[in-house]
Amino acid sequence: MSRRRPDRRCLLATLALIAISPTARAAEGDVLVRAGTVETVESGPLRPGAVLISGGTIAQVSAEIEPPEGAEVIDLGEDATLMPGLVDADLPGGVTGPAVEETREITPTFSPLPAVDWSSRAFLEALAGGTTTGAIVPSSENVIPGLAVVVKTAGEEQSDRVVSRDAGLVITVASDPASRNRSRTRPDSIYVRQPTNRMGVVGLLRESFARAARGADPDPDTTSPAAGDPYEPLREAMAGRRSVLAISRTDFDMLTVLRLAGEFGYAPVVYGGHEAYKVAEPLASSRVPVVLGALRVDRPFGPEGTELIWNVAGILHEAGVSVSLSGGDLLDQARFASRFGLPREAALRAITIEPARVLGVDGRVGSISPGKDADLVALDGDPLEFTTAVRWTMVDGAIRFPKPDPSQQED
Amino acid sequence: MTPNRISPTALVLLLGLLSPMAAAQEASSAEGQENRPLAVLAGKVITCAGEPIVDGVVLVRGGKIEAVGPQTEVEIPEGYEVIDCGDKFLMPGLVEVHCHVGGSGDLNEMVYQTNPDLRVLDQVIPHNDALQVAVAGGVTTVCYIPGSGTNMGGFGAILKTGPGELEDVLVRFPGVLKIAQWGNPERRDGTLGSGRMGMNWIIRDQLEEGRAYVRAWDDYESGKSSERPEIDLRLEMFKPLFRREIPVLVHTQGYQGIQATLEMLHDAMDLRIVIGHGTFEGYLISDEVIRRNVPVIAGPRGFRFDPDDGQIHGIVAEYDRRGVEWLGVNTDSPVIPQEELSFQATMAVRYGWNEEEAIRGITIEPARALMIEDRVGSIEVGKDADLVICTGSIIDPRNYVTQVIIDGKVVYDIAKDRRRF
Repeated sequence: MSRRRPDRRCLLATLALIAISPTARAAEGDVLVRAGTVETVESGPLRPGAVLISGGTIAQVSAEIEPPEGAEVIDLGEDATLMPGLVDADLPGGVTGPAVEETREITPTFSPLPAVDWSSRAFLEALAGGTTTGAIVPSSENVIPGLAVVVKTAGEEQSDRVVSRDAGLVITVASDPASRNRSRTRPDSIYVRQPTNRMGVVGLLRESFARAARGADPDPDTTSPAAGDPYEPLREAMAGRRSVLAISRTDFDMLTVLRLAGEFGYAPVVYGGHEAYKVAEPLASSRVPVVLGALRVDRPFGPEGTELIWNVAGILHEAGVSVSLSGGDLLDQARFASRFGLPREAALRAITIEPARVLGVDGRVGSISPGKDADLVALDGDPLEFTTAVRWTMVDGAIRFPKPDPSQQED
Repeated sequence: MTPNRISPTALVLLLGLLSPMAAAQEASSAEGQENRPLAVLAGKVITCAGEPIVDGVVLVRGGKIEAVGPQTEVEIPEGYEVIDCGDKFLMPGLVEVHCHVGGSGDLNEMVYQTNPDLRVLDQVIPHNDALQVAVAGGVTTVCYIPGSGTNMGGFGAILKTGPGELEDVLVRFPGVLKIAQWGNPERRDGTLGSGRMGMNWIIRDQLEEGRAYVRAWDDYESGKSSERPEIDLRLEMFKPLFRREIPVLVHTQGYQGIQATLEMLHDAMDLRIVIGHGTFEGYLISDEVIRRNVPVIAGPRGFRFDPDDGQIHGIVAEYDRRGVEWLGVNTDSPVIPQEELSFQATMAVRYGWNEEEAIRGITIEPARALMIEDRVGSIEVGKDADLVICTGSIIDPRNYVTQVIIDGKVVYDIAKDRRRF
């Protein structure tokens, strides 16, 4: 999200647009948006371009479209860019309380959905930065924390905002779950348990997948008590019907992700990937997509002391790895990634269609194509220019950012 | 997935061999320069397999030792790159049995007293900062093992210290099982294993379970039993152990500790063992050690103050004096920095060990203890070309390593890399 205040000129333009925006009547009538550039992402840029929206869905995309009778027309102007709503594969925040069940390490069927705070400021911030879809990923404090869900950052009804209730099984191949556990403390503490280090993390993962594979009973000490079968998501993953989102940051942990995938036959996606540039080749040859955590180069970074470089995205892309950027501020991240070596087209894909594919929601979001949800971002310039601001963000055909000013609504 | 459906391939992988996916293709793309066969000439070649050779030469081809002998007898074929070390000493790469610096340092998972399902393989960091300096100290092979916080810390991996991906540097996994039978794992928090009695009961109990599991599999695989046992990942790595394909590296010290190790692990369980510290008054049980022909790779503490005679005694020298021949030293790095393995031998000599045996004690004897003597530990035809060039005998601490070759590639050369140690 850009925290820069819009300048006066931009603000006036925005207010003027609100007056004619379809906010209040999203589902009724057609809307035609014209812009100097339309970045469709999947079928190249249109200059100029026009997008026709009907009933919250993209109906037509073309260089020029005749407005249908009664349609509202929004002309963004020659300098503006219209692009798909951004997709954040690891939306920060959005959950009330811890995004993990703390009493067990293996909770594969647990979902963050019931803990989502739909009015969370995190969604408003994401929306202001152009992000319309985000994955809520359970926290890496558990070895298998649960399922990722995908939601829209805005919408009338909570149920309408859910895009996917099951975007993948999240596992942790990092030292995180060990951080709070202790081998010896007060005997009644729930934190006297494995793992207390990485050997335990990998041991529990391997044990869980092996038990799931042979249909054994869950281990009650480590695994969530469930009415159903807590190992079902693991079996689905091993059968190739579900992806595994593996939180992993060091190079050797990513090799462990690949090794476990080889042993148990699941298709992984790496989440985090700080040192992925060191193992770009094996990631590419195994066709493992990487969702990079927020780009930065503090060195060494975090509890694992990972070595970060600016061009991790560019190196991965060049090796043939699908790269997504995540963790908030997607436009700024794409700008930095592009500044340090990620080609323009890949940078735009990394915040739209690539994360949509990783999450299995590319049928609905991630590009400007007929039939997809009308999630659009209007920018007052080129997306990868640092001075470019978000003019408005539309979700399912309704402009949700900026919020309509009540004093203007009567106009 | 249906129950019990683990493919044979998956099983091999479960045992820790590398997934082909993880394999980087670096090995095949190694530059031609590095693949050039070498002829290494030195004033003295200490082979650790017979008498030293004065003015000797070692031919290296395809990462292996192709020939070794006096320069007057071994002809250098056309196209070999000649590395003439003048009057320097050439010796086999040093072998460390007790290393904790081969990876991320996730060493002690201490919730349970026995952890046979844990493995260091998943956190190996090849050629990390500590191992790079180790190379400069002449150390070319290390056994990276879990710590001694519990009675059974998990399975270690045997690695080369040079550059490369995991599959390039891995010598064997599982390398050893780590058992701690003295001191560190004794608990005082109310759980079982508060002292030697409880601790030894725990180790025996776990090994009994493992042995029963392996026997059930052996019976099934030899056709003695038609009932296929369930795969239990917690016990799976006991298979190579009870089949005597890999040893147990035992953290054991003192007379009582070593006695328990010999009687339980060697006699009752019929395991290959390595006495991994052997310190304090442990040498007093030398007769029992000799009778069973097990290796003592001693350290990191190299001496003991004997209150009876008021003298400092060298640990290794005392074993040696009593007739133990399968002897070596370790660093327990980072307790002693990994690059100082040769200093451990130096100090053992200072306390009365023999220099020739001390050189064997950091090369071929630890290699035999780890059961990798077919690959490393001496300069013999067919073995890995892991060679160390030193300004003189490595036992004299005034000398230093000038070049190191691992698997036929020069990985350290003070002319290019500056002297790092």
